[in-house]
Amino acid sequence: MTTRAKHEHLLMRYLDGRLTEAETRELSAWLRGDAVARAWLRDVAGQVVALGDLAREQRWQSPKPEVAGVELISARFSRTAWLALAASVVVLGCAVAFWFDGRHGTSSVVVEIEDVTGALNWTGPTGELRTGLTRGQQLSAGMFETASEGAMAQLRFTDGTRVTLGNRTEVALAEDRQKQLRLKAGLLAFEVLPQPPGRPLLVRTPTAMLEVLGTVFTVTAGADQTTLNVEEGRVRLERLTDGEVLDVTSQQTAVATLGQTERFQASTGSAPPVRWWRTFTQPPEASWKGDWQPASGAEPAFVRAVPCVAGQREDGMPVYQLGITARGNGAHLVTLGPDSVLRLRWRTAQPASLRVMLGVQKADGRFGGNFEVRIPKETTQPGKDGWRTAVISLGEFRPLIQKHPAPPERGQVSLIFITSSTDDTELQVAELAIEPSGSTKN
Amino acid sequence: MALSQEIIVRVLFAARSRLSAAAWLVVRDAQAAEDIFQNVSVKALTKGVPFEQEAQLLSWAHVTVRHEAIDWLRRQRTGLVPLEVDVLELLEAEWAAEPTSGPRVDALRECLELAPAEGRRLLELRYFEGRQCEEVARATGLGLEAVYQRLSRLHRALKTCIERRLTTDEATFSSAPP
Repeated sequence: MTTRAKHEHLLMRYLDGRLTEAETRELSAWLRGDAVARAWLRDVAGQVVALGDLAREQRWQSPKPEVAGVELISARFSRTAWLALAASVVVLGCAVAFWFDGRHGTSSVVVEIEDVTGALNWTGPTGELRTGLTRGQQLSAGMFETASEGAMAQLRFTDGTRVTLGNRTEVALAEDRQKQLRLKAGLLAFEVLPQPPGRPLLVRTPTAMLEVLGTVFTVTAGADQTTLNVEEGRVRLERLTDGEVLDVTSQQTAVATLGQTERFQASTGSAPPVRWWRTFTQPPEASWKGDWQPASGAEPAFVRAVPCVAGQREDGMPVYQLGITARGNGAHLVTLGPDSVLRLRWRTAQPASLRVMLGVQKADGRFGGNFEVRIPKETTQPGKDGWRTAVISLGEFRPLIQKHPAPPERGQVSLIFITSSTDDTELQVAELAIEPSGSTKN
Repeated sequence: MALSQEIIVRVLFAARSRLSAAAWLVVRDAQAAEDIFQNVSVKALTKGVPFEQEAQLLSWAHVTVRHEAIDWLRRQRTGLVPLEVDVLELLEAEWAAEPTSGPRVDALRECLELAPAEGRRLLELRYFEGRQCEEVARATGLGLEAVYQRLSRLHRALKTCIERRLTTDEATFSSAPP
């Protein structure tokens, strides 16, 4: 065996964890004086990291049937974590303590998780935190949070009433004599079975109180506005700033804001349009994730990928990925049809594949599944300015949860999450659309 | 002016491959290397001292990754001995001087598709399933030395293929011994 062959053999045994201390010293001495060997070692280490990424990606693309959402969290999105979880625990703990002040029973099971994708956390009244919740788990009163881009969860109360938590939703939930929820922010879609007389289901938001006896509806809340869409039945909506009350019935929509100058009335709701198209001559809504860059010379305006919470490790640590998230502002973006296509114009610093995820809800607001497509970089050619365009039919998206194998009829897109296959590609998006096949840009 | 949290995350993302690789060279456990990188990322954001420059952040990250990796080895009591510190420092300095941070996943995927089935199987057992070479030898019916030799050749072939893919957009794969 030549000296080089002997040293390469030592290297392979080092990587396999089989060298003695003396052999490691010998290997160190050789590496100290051999730049070629060091370059080879660096390359092997880089290959191993990339192979690990690929392994996680493949596990993610073949999720276990019963825990698809969990695989999404723990396997694929093992990326950069950058925020101390402790901070969110403290914040959530305070919020829960505020809400559960002893009036509510807190130890018995209140809900069961029927469906979940992405990161779902629960914080109990004493600050106990559970992360990475999965289907079938039963939980008592507490604060629930969908903590990653595209995360959704469907909870079922013991009487069969269902509530779906949309992406990035925080809600405290309890049931003593009646069901009570406090929606801090986000979206809730309800399917409420008839409640006992005198004990309606109550939903409190920063700007409104909703009283429900039995109905199907969706409520979206932020700090200064609550939007209610009633699919079936009747919901009593109280605007908190002045106590004015409104009955909102089937197929109606109403908005309660902090101000009293806006008209407080129910109007006939309508599904979002079948065509949605967005360029960035104006910055995107605050609910989006992306760094807006205005047009400059021949350069179009675009949004650049920013760190987004993409999932959660098994130990509860949030994991981040650079991406862009589009959301409707108090409403869904678009209604899907059988011939819907996604059109995307994007650019990256280096050629890279993209992933696009759609969060979809049914027409009545219930969770309709998450769907994803990969756009290999070979399928598109960049123009001279580096921008690429892809048009992808709905049929090319694959389900991330087997329970929802295909987008529902008249499904409504609540979220679009776009990310590149590698971390440092400087993803930029200049145009984004979901529209019937054959539509053209305005 | 101190780097913002977003810039810190961007810089660490861009250097993730080399930082994780540096951790792996010490711990030789892919999952542990990933965890170490994530822990260092969290430390970078919660550390009280602001980073003024990207180079300062990266230098700090490399040193912290090395310390965390060596601590991990001690805690695990695996008996694994890392390379001597000055060699690790040399490797870190060379990594920092490289324009790119290692093979891209897309190029690697394409090169793996070109690899012979037996080679792919070896790489899967060793790195996807995280098996020691002795277990790989048992699973494949090869001797341990043969596994070392073939893995070594596969790494060289992957390196060549990835470089060709990244520079010419064409990939070829040859793991035949020179």
